[in-house]
Amino acid sequence: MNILSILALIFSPAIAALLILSPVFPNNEIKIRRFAKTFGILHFIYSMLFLLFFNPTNFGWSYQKELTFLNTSWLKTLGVTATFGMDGISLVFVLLTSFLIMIALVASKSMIRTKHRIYYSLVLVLETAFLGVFCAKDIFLFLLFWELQLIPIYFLVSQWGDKTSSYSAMKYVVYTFVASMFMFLGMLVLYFYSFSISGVLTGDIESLSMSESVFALWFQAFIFFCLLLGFAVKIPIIPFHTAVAKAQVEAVTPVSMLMAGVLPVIGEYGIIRFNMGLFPEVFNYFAPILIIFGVVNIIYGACLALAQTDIKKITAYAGFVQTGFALIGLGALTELGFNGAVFQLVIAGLIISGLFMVTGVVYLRTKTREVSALGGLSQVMPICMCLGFIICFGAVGVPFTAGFIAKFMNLSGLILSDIEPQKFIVSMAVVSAIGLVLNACYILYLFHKTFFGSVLSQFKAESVQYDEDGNEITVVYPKRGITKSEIIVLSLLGIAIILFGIFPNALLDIFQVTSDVILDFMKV
Amino acid sequence: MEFLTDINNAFLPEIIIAAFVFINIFLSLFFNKKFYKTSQWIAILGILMSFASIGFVQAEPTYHAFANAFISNVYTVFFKSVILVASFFAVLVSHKIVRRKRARAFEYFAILFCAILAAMLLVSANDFLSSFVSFEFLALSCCLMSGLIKNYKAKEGALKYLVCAVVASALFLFGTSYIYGITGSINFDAIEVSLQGYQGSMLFALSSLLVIIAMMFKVSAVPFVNWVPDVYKGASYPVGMFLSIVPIAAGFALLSRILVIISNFVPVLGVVIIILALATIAFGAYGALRQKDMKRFAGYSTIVQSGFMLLAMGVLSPYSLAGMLYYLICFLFTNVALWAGMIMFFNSNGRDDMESYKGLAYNNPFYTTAMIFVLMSLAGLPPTSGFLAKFFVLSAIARLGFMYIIFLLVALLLGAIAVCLYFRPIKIMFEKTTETLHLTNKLVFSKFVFYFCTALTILLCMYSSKIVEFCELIAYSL
Repeated sequence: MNILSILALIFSPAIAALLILSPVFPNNEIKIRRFAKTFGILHFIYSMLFLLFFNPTNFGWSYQKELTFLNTSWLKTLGVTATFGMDGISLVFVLLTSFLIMIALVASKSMIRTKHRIYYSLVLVLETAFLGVFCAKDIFLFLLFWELQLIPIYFLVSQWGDKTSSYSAMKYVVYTFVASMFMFLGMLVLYFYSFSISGVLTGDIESLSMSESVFALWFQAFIFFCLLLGFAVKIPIIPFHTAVAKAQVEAVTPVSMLMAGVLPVIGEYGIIRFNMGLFPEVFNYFAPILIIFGVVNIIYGACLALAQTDIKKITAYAGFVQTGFALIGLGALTELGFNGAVFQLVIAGLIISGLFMVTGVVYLRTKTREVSALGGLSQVMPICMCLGFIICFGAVGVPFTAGFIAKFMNLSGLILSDIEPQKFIVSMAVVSAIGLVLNACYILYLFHKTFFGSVLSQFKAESVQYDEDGNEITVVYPKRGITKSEIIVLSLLGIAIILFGIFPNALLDIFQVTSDVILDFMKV
Repeated sequence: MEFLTDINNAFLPEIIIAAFVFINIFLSLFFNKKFYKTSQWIAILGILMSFASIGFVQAEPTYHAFANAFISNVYTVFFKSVILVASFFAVLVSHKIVRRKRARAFEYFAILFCAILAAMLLVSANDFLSSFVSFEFLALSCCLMSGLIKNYKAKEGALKYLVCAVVASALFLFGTSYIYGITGSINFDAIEVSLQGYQGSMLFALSSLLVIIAMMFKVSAVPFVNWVPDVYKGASYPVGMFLSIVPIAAGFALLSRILVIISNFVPVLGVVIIILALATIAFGAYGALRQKDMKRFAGYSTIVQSGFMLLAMGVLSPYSLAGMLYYLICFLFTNVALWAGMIMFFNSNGRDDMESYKGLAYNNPFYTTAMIFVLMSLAGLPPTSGFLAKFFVLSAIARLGFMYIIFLLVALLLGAIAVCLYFRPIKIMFEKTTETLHLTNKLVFSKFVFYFCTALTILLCMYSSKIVEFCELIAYSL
């Protein structure tokens, strides 16, 4: 299996980006776009090969490989190596990232009008940063790719967004960077204190585990919360959400899709990999806090979404609600909940990027995002309505869509949880079930106000034609229908949502063993 | 003829630089319309010769020259190479000065070589007297260089530099005299011997603090920072590039050697230096956030960077020294690249306010990309060497113990502010504007320096393993 190189998987997007930027590449918008799109599709096929040859019963990391420079490790003296690997959870998220990048590249056709060369290369660099985070096997390599994301995101949000997007991009960068500094602090302390115990300088994730209770609980908790703060801003967990919401709303649609689809996954991947994998005792102790955070995300996010009149803002807050369910699943500490959390993250990525795509399509046609100024679009854009219907139902959690499975697994995982007191768990489950209703409220409100009702006059285009007798007749036809690339994007997302709703095991089987390993480790 | 042996064994680079000082002064006497163009080549030749002669210097074991007033070991040789490399780049980009000064270009190079000589002597000084003399020598030649242009700003900067230098020297002398009174010697080796078994006293702590604070002037740290932006604003670009690296490198060399001797006897010195370093970073970041002028921005950026290097000085272990040396190497290339980029811009349109960089991204994408990498390296973002450099320095503090975590946290948060300030120029380059200034730089040298150093900032991150080992080797030799 020499064709499956994890280094090629991670760094090929960056190389493709350099190729686009290089002066050799023709400065033709169509060629650049087609090259990027083709690359995205090939990359997704290549990452599917990794799934094909993946052994789901393997306990440890598969496809391990170290990146060396002139046959020496990167930072050998510090015990930090550039080693990459994948386990079941990483693989699922790598597939999701590759899929969403492909979708976003296809969707960019109608949304991006200027600076194609820089745009497509930045998206591909962003893909490298995402994949690097999921595959890094060393804490400082993780940090490197984590901070590498900031630069493409800054430019993608500020250059192609709304008028004030430069401000919100800067705000996002500052927020995330300050939080990641706390994460860096936690990592440095962890690194040196494990050195003081074991005498080996290493940044390898597997060998850094703190389960042997050599450190005082408060000390472990300090590192735990430093790391959690870094992840919380990325997800975002509610008190730290303002910058993320603003950036998501003001970015151009494909970038919003990526931010809402992949960034929460990266944050929760960090929680799974570090907070659960390295501090099982502390995590057992503080799991109720995660549940509370999740419930706050659901209820407060849903209330925020209900109060908005901008369809893109509603969508952004809908994303917070979806990640809230995954947080509940993580905090429940049961197998069902954990699997549900990972499942929910993948599905939330699909659903929220789909919702952003729908709002983007609507905004492109109508030039407005105000709910009051929209209506009756089902007559103008019937195909968009049909595909948006599937995605919205996925978001609500209707049976036969993947959203139902995910929410069911999370909530039942929470109820089955052993966390004491039982009253707390039950009340949390009840509150989050109420959250489900609120969730359905604002999504149906969004869908109804946008697509149903009478067609507003500004969306009609009328032309006057003459019949055989020479009498004037008025023909009503849609101003601009939905384009082929948009149909492809929406239908791919819709198919995925329904497919995983009917065959959830197709996804669950990939990471079943890995989640068992992590949960066994938690019980020790 | 003992001094000839000394020169032969340890002081060939200095003597070559000194010889070129006189050659330049001598050549300045001949006024010729075409002859002045050769001045840059002569200066390049001098630096290359001096750099080549470093190979003949005895570095292992330590060589004591001139009655133990100067030493030569691996540590000093490393710093001398850093100084020479930085000066080499500064000479390469001096083309504009040569054309404007014409016959007096030789005088400029004479003063520049004086400064190089002083910095190299400061690095290898082994007693308080020789270090004071080189300290003053460096300050005066830098003062002359910063006032080279005939305008108000340059004179203002030069005067500020002079006043600060005089105050710093006074503090330095004051501190040294007390140390002499306590230990009975001014030689570093003798002080180290006489301090064995010394319990430490308030007076000794105060006097060493005075010496350290005087050194802060050289490394442009709090409390002597106010001169930096004004002097850089007044000085011409190559001089600014020189000032932002060479005196700082020389200052860190001497500071670390003094600290190694005295830090064991002054318990709180490490904490004081860390606090000074944090204050320096905060000052630099606060100043740079509001700057509208690119030169002053570069000045504040230098303050921030030297604050991070000073942070490593507060810890003073072989590990942290190695981190400081790695930071210095990265800072050398990154800062040279920043100034070379500014020189390319200034040479094509003669403007140095930040507003004039507007819209550059659309007309000069290649230049902008390189500039973004440079600014990212200064900010400490991957995939540049600045990220690793900051990582080394901060991990040195993390190694100290749990008590220092509060300092680490403050340093990290200040690092986050530093990221904002380096994003500002990038943001401006991407702003839309009706009239955009074009880069019409025909000067090959500044172009070469800019792109070469930018490439190095990225390569240093990837091939860091060997360089870090090298830095640790040097740090252990101290």
